[in-house]
Amino acid sequence: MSALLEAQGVTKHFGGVAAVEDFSMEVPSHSVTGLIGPNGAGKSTLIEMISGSIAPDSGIIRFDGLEIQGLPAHRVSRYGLLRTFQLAREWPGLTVLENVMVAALSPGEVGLARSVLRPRRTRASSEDAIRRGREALDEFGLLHLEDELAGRLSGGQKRLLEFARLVLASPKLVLLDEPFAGVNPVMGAAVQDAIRRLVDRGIAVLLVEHDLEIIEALCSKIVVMAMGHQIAEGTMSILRSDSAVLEAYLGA
Amino acid sequence: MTIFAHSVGFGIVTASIIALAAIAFSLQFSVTTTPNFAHGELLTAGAYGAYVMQKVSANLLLDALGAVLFGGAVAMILNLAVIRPYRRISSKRLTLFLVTVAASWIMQNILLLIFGAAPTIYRLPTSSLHSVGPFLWTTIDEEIIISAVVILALLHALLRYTKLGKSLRAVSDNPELARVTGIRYPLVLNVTWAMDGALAGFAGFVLALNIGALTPSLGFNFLVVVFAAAVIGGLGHPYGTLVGALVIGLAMGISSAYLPGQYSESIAFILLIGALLVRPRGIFSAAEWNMAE
Amino acid sequence: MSYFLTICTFAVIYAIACLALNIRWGWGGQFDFFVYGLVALGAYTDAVLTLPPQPKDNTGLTYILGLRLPFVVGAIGAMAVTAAISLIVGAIALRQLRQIFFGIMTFASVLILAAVIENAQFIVNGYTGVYGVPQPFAGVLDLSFGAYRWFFLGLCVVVLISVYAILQRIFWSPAGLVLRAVREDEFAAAAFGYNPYRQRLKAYVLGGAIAGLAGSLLIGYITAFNVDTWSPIETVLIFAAIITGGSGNNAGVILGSFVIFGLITQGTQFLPAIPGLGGQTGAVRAIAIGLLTLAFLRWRPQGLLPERHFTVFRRRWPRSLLPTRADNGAATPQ
Repeated sequence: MSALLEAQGVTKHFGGVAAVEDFSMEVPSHSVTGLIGPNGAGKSTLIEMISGSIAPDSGIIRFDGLEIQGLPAHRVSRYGLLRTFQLAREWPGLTVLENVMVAALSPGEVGLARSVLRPRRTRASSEDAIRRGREALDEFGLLHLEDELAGRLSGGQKRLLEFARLVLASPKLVLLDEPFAGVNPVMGAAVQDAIRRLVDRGIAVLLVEHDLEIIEALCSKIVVMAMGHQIAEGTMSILRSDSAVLEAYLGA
Repeated sequence: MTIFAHSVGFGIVTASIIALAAIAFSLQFSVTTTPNFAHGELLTAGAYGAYVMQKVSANLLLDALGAVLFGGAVAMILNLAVIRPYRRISSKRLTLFLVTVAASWIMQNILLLIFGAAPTIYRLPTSSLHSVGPFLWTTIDEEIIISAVVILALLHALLRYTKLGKSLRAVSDNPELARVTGIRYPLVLNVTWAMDGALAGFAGFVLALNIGALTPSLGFNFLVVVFAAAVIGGLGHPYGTLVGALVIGLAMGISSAYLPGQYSESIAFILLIGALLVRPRGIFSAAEWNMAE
Repeated sequence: MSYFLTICTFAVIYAIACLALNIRWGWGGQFDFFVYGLVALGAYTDAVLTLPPQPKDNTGLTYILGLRLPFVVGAIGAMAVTAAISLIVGAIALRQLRQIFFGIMTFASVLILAAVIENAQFIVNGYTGVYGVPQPFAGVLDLSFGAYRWFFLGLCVVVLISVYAILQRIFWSPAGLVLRAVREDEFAAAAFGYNPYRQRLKAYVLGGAIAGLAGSLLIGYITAFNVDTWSPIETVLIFAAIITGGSGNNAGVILGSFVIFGLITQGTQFLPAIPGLGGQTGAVRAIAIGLLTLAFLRWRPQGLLPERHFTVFRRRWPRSLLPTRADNGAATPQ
């Protein structure tokens, strides 16, 4: 079975500096894959290219059999590849419930004309989105905050809100960009739990993270990136004795 | 061919005026990051300042001084009374923009109250047309060009070689870092606004010389042209703005010779729109579009 | 009384224009100078559709078309033209421009429009503009002068209420929700599959159509229109209305329109009596409005009616009465 997400020879230069150089990896479905590497390895740039914010200079990115490199972010999302951001990106002026509603809606339901000309169906869409949204909020323990403006939530709560939104959008793969950054241990346990729940639902996860303990706890496969390309992949025990990995982290 | 040469000559005069006004704007924007829609009113203030001075004395230099002082004063007031209070409560640029729009409107109407809507005639000193190479200029035209060159050269020297100039450049480059390294941020801001007002005031004075009459909307009508030059050169890059001013000035000068009346001004608008579409960050800006903006 | 009628009618028509602008500002977060240009375009379109053909004598009144169509067709035509122009301008401007650049671009666009209209005399008679535009339904109904004015006010109110109702329905629908999400954070919206450009464009065209409608009513009322009547600064008036009223909330926008166009105009009626001001009441009025706007921006940026009243909110989104799946099994009441 081929991988759900594949990168082949992906390259991106920024004004003469190679951020990502001939990078390849395979991310299987139904599991958590970790992406680690020292600062400046190019992980963020890679994530941007996969999710569609930036186009690679060369190389192929294949998702579920489709070539997605160069496609804009909203198209990539429609194919079922979602992402989170390093700083939790909620819609601050919308309530928590409205935040999850946006994720719960499907593209066919948000037409302008439809909202005017088909009031009953529009109302049904809203109610459906609300119902599913509230279920997700309940699952992540945020239901009591549903009418709160999302901008007022704490950092940890915003993270959980992100997960609620991800779940509602029914993706096939989720890119998590350092979800544990700046999160206290209690919330960290909740986030780990949330990630496991994603996998339980059949959603594959590509986890970018610095904390190696967490990576070891969650990931079945780990890809190591340094200086723009992949230098190793495997399980944690294999990587521990890999000289290239050690050098990348301890050397220079 | 002479028509073309003459039109280029006129274009150079226009470019000089634009350069003064647009570089003032770019300088201010690069240091304070406030998009000041009321910039045109700084020009108008300078023009009326010169007019008031003219009532007192007929000396052109004193009139210019009046323009500079009045423009600078209005800019300082704008900063202290309008922009700073709003900056404290909202960091959104759009809100500040809106505030300056309201300020622009208020200022125009204040001038309307004081001076009336009818164009105020500005007594032009006598001057004659004569040829300078292929160009046809009046003495005033020449004075405009020379003063623009001198002032911009002085400005360049100030930015490059003085401590003040270095502080300005530091703040414009990286305000946080500048603050930390001991540069007195509020002072730099105030000085920048004063310089902006002085320069723009002078530009307004020169504009009034060029046109011969003042109205409260003098600067406002000139605003699009100024924006065009600033955008083409790169919003906040004073040196690029100089190029932008030349481009716009020459375009306007040349087109005024070959196109009917008002369309020559429209050339500036079209160039502005073109610049906005093709390269909003300006010719000299290599920075990638910031995604997190 | 007749003066009061005039103020009210203007306030209602401007309220419609304010609603149009609010789609760009309150929903879209964009500062758009072009709105008043669209109002003007709507006015001119209605004029050339409803006026009789250009008089053959040399009265100097030149304009295109002149189809002597009824007002309703004129209004629909106005909306179609402004929607189309909005589509063009929006497609270009929204593709890459944000915030102040967008503002500058729309500013330049209005000026270009004004230049074209002024210089190309044959379109709508250049600077002098058109006049003698037939009043809506005046030929059909046979009302006295006074009665007609009441009728017209009623017509405007009906239009305003209809526009408001439609906009509210959109606001509290999935479409409106996505628009607001795009306004709040377009990258996050894109990350969830919504194309920010397309969403904004839809809203832009909608706003344009409404502005055109306002324009057709405006010219139906004044029966004349020229370049003097409109400039980018007119847009400031509409912004002032939105900011004082509360841009997050369409009812607030309407209130703001009445405050600015009604109250202020009325409140400054006594000014000519003050010696020394001469005929400059217009300027004083403008300064007052400007200061009011600044005051609101400083001390009450959310306007008189803020975006949400929590008491009303719960009733806004249709909620089913199903209990939620609380962890302890107990049903959570609504």
